[in-house]
This record gives sequence, structure tokens and C-alpha cells, in this order.
Amino acid sequence: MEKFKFNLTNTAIDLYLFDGVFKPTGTTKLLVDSVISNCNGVVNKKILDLGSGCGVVAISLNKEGLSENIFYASDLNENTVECVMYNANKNNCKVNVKKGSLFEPWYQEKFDLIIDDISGVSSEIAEISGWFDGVPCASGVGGDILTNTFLEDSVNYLNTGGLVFFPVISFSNVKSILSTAEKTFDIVECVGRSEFMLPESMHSSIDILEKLKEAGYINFQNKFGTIIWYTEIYKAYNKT
Amino acid sequence: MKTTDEVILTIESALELEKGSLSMDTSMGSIEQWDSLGHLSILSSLDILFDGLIAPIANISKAQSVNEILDILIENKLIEK
Amino acid sequence: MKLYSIISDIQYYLPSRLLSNEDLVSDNPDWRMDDIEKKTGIKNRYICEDNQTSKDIALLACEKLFKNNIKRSEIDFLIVVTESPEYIAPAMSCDLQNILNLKTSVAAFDINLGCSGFVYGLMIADSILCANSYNNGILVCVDTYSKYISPNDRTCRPLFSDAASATLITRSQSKSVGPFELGTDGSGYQDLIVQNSGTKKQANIERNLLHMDGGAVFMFTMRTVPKVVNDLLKKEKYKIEDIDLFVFHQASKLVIDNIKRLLKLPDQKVYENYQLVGNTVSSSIPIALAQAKDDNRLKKGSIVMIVGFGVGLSWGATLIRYI
Repeated sequence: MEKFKFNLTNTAIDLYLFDGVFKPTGTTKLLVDSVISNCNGVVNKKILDLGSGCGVVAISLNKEGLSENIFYASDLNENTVECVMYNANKNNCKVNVKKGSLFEPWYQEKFDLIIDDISGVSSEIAEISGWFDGVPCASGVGGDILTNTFLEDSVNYLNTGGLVFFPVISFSNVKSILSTAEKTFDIVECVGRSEFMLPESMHSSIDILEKLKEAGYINFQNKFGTIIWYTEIYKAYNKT
Repeated sequence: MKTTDEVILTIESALELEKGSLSMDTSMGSIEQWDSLGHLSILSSLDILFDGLIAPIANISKAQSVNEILDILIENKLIEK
Repeated sequence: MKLYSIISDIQYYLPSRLLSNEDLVSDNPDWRMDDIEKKTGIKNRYICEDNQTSKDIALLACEKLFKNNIKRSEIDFLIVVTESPEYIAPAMSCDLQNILNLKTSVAAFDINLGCSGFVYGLMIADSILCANSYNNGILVCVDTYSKYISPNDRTCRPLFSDAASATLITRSQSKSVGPFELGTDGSGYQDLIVQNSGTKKQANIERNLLHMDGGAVFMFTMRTVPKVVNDLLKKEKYKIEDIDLFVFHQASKLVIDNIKRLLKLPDQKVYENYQLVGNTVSSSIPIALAQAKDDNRLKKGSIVMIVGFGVGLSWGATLIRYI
């Protein structure tokens, strides 16, 4: 079990990773920061962290006062339910965590805020990246299958005035994801962006990246003698 | 010539961050570790990495994000464009 | 007959109020003091009481000199290096002349310099003694930067200490001090500045507030100090091995460690006391020299290089032979 610190605005939380649970990345940090900065003063709301991994997003938002006393989380991965409960307990948070794919565990439930924390990179990149060590990633070669399904289904699980936050990574079919978002929601706006360098673990796979880029599945920039990719965080909602 | 990877690793090490935790727009003040003293640690560590070639660069102290540091290193032909 | 100068005595005064790292955390609970201490190397700072001024502590340092055999009537000039005088005018040295009961034929004047101030003051004192029939002078260095620093200034507050030093410089027939290497780069004047403190009014800026661009000042030290050391060595046809001890302005651990690295100086050749004294600005070098002597790091025949650098941006270095 690995222990790590996750920094929030005024504090840091200690989190533990069970085997096979996704380790938070820069995208995770950007997602948390973007949600906190763009919630229109939302506090004590019913928040769902979909694809929660170790629970970092849900616990962070709970600590920042955005969620009710209890937060909601789900993940496909067997180990995450226990991991999330362990971390919630360590951080004095109450959690309702379920195992299941996408919105499967949340039949007829409605939320004020839904966070898409599901893998959204090309499955070919997931394989070579080392980010998904032991963690399944069935997002398709364009990395858009799960995110598009999430976006289309999410409207059915939102309270009136509810918000959805989702990351879009340039190692995925950005056009496809944003097109789905724009068809589903009245307003889709980018609320955060970070650029990252290609990790060392992927340097030997640059030819795979070039092929995926040529085929239109992913995008990146060649700069500083390396590959620069980005994550953007989008906020989507319907007018009331 | 040093690589961008070596520069990023150096900055991460100077700030005592885990490998892979910096983004290109991570900047002074955006993370706890990159405060004014963290900034000095970065400058010092970069000067060690580049064998004393950083000290003469007058404007490098004004570079306060990963992107800006890399831009100045390119300007001074210390890393590849 | 050629005349020279010699440092006969150094005395100093540190205020009794100690500001520890625990005190800083108590005032600023969000500060990561272990990280600050690791990088600055400073554990303690000495801070004047609210009603205690630079003149008060300068007086105490000078009185210590007079306990050690030099008579007030034997003092021919008084130089005060300070950036925190009680008043902009008159010069604090004039006030001190009176309070110390020195003769009225004393030449008294202030120098507005900081961390390089001791070297500049020494150069002027040396010049006065070499050129005139004067016999003894006092070089006072005193700063109370704490009065300019905001309580939550994480860049400056962990670094600076208040202190005063008084150095007795005497005419000599043997060469002890010099030569000097001095320099200035005024393009960096804003990098370390007490804002809104003089006749230039700055709207929306708090009066008398110290601002330091730590990165710019740090890079200045890395660019300048190794060069001035090498220039001075070259001037005297010395090598680093010929110098017994280097006493740099005690800026902080990060600064001194980098200077040591760039000059490839072994630890035992560099005197450091910033840990327990802090950065005392113009008094930094004389206090270090006095403490080095107390620690038996200086013996008869020792050759010491002192290097001051900082606000201005200004720098100066010289050699002192202990005879």
C-alpha cells in the first residue's frame, strides 16, 4: 500500500493506494482545482465522483466544503471500493461508494455535480504509458468511448441546474468528445488547462504516438525537443 | 546539450517533488513547494546541471514557470528547440 | 614613509530579543519552517525592541571598544555605515560623535550602503589613514532591517537580524589591509529596496517596506562574487590556496553554498555564522571576523579575504593580513 500527499488550497490530505488502483496524476490535480474554482459558490451539494480511483477527487471536494456530509463515488475496479472507504475513513469523510461501470450503480439517483474521473486516453497510449498499471482502460483507440457514453448518460442523473466536469486529454479524440458534449449540453466551457511533457516511459514509443496523431486519434506538439500534450477541464450544463 | 527531461527532473528534485508531477505551466506560487526559496533552489540546481552556465543569464530569475524556464534555456542554446 | 592601516579591534552588539524559527511559525502558521531553515540555514535572528534604534545599538557596540584601552580623545574620524538611520538628516555619525563624547575635530560622516558597506567603509578608512596625519578611526556598521520588514514577508523575515559593530582602525607601518576590488551595478537597484522611504513618493505602497527580488539578488551573487574573488586574487598574484580564510557576507546558506561550489572552496576555508546570527547586513562581515578570531580561526599571519555584496547592487572585496 503506497501513501502519498495530495495538496489542496490550504491543506494537504494523506491518501493510500491499494494494488491495482489508479494513481492520481497532474490531470487529477487540474480537475480538482478547476472544479473548486468554477463551482459558482456551490457548497454542501450532492457530488458524484465517477471512476473515483482512490477517492482523491471526492475527498478533496469534501474537504473543501463543496459536498454534503457524505460523498458518492463509484469505480469499475474491485479494489477501489475498499480503497475509497479506507481513505474516507482516514480523512474523516463519510462515503457512499459502489462498484460498477459508469452510471450503472446509480439508478434513479440525481446529483448536483458529477465529475468524470474515468480514463479518457487512447487505449494504445494507456498501454504504453505506465499510468494504468493493472488498471483497466477500455476507452478505445480514440480514448473517447467511455467519455462520450458518460456525457450522453449524465443528463439523466443531474438535478436541475446541475453541473458536469470532465477532462479532455489531447491523447484522445478531442473533437469527438467535445462534439458529444455540445450535442448533450447547452453550455460547454473550458475552465482549466495544463500542458505536460511526455513521460520518460513513453520515449521509446514515439513512433506509435506519431501514427495515432496521423490517424487523427490524438494530438500533441513537438517542442523543447520532446512531446508536449495537454489536459483541458470542461464544465457543462443546461440552461434552466 | 542537456535534454528537457533532465531539466524537468532537476526542477522536480530541487522542489522535492515526485517524478512526473510538474506540468509545463506549473509556476512559482502554483504549488506549495515553489515559493521564493523553492525558486532559488531551482536556479541553484539548474546552475549545477549546466556546469555554471546559468549564473551569467541575467533574466533567468524572472522565469517563473516551467515553460518560461525552458524558453530561456532554448534562447541561450542550452537545450534543443 | 608609506602609511597603512590595521584593524585593531572589532566589537559588536546583538539585541537581546531573539526571534526563533518557532516564533516565526507562531506568527505565520502556514510557513513550512523546516524547509525555510533547510534553505536559509538560519535558526535565530536578533531583533531590536520597538523603541530601540540603530543609534542605540551602535552606541552599545562603540562603548565596548572604549572598554578595551582606546581613549575617546584618540579617535580622529567616525564613519557610520547604515541604511536605517534614526533620521535622514543629520547624519547619524554626527549624533554619535556627540553621544560618544568624541572631540569636535573628529571627521564624522555616514555611508548609505548595506552588505558591501563594511568593505567600502574599510577602504575609506584605509585611505584616510594613509593620506593624513590621523591615527585612529571607528567604522560603525549598523542596520535594523526588522523595522522595514512586514511580519508575513516570507522572503525577508527569516533572513535578517538587527546588529551593530564597531571596528577600530589604526594607522600602521605594516601593510595589513588591501588591495580593494569594488563594483556597482545600479541596474539592479530595485532588486533590494526599501520602498517609499525617501523623497520619491510612491502611491499605494506602504511606507518604508523592504522588498527583495530573491531570485534576482541570488543570480547577482552567483555572477559577481566568484568574479570579484578571482579579480582580487589576480591583482595580488595569489591563488585560492594562499588564502587562509574567506569571510563572505553572511547572506544565507543557499548563497554561501553556491559561492563555495562555484569557487570550489573547501568548507574549512570558509567562515560561516549565519546559522545563529542571521543576516546582519553591513555588520555581517565584522561580526564574522570577530567570531572567527574568538573561534581561533584567525592567527598571526593569517590572510583573510572578505567579500561583501548586496543592496545597490554593490560589491567589494579586500584582503586582511593578521599581523
